[in-house]
Amino acid sequence: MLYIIPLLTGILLISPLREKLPLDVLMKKYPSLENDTRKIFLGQTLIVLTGFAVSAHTLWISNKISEGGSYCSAQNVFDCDSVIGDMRYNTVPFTEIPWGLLGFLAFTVLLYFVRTLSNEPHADFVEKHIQFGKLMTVGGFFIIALLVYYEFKMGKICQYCTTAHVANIAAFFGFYEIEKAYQSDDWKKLK
Amino acid sequence: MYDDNATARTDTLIKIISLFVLVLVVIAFTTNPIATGVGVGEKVPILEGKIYNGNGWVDYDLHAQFDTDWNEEDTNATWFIVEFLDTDCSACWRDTAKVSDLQNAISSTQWDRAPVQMIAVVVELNIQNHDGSRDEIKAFRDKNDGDGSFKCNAGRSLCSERDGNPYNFPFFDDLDGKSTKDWDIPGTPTYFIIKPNGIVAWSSVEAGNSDIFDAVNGLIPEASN
Repeated sequence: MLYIIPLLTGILLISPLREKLPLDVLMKKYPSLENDTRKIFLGQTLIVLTGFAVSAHTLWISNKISEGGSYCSAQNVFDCDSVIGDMRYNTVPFTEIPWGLLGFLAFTVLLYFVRTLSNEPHADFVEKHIQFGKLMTVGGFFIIALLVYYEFKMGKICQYCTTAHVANIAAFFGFYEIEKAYQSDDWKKLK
Repeated sequence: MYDDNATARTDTLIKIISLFVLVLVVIAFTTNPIATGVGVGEKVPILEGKIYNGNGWVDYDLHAQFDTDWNEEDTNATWFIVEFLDTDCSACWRDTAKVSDLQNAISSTQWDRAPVQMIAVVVELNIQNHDGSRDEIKAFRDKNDGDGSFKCNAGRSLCSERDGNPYNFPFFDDLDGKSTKDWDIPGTPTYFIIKPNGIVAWSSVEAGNSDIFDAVNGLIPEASN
């Protein structure tokens, strides 16, 4: 739930539903949110921050399991210990890098792209950062496909990993929305 | 020259790297991950496949036998001795008496230490006349000649001629060499003593000339009851 709330809020903010959200109180405190693109930036930041946090948490769980402890084992299909602790699948192929660390690094870079776009929307790097963000999240789709395949083989689902996957997919749509906004007149009004 | 864009990027970069490092520091201080490997103190790699247990070939997963919550005070949990061998390797052939003595010791009613499970992992070294098979594994373990169409010890001896008794512990088929590669085995025979939680307690690769009997007596605790 700690991750679901910011993730869902972020998804709502990057979706067309953002116009219908009751954000009056927030907009009174932060007038910049009256600009539609600023709402997308806020949503995208929440999504990427969720991915960042949940990946770090996954890395922490991975370390704890290697110590011999159990963290989230269960007898049902939702059993992150079995997934993160499975030595056959819990590292990037041909390396010893845990998947959590890869996600943590990836979401750090995505966070950098989002924050630089938001802080300096008229800089010359804007288009590049949007494209890099889109490319990285598309690359994430292949990793998600591989990890979901692993989960399917194990017959288990890791809730934390799934949250990170959803964050990556949502971040792709976030960058897509940012790109659309960049091509609109609304972008020029950004300060 | 002053570049506003560069300033924005640098400020953001510093903030995000700070956040990244802060989170990494928290993870580093609150966890103590154990690496996977075959060095003493490392968690052993996967050993999953088919074993011959005297009755037939069945699925086996060494990690499924481990007690991940084990602590040093628990002296009744099962320890593991893993031997990597080749049924055609002369050094392994010479070691058969010693392995048989070890099996007899840990199976004896006078054994007063924590229980021990032995496992042999059979590989096929890439050497002339080293042509293992599942039938040869069975014959080596059970100390018989199978259907008589093969020999052990690189074709020099009948499998029934090896020293010691028939073995009572499982033999793992690694003729394809996958686990041998995962475990980074430099040659055969190689022995490991593994704690009940899957951590390597002793390795013949690191121990040099020290004897496995000494290691067993020195490492495996006396049972508490």
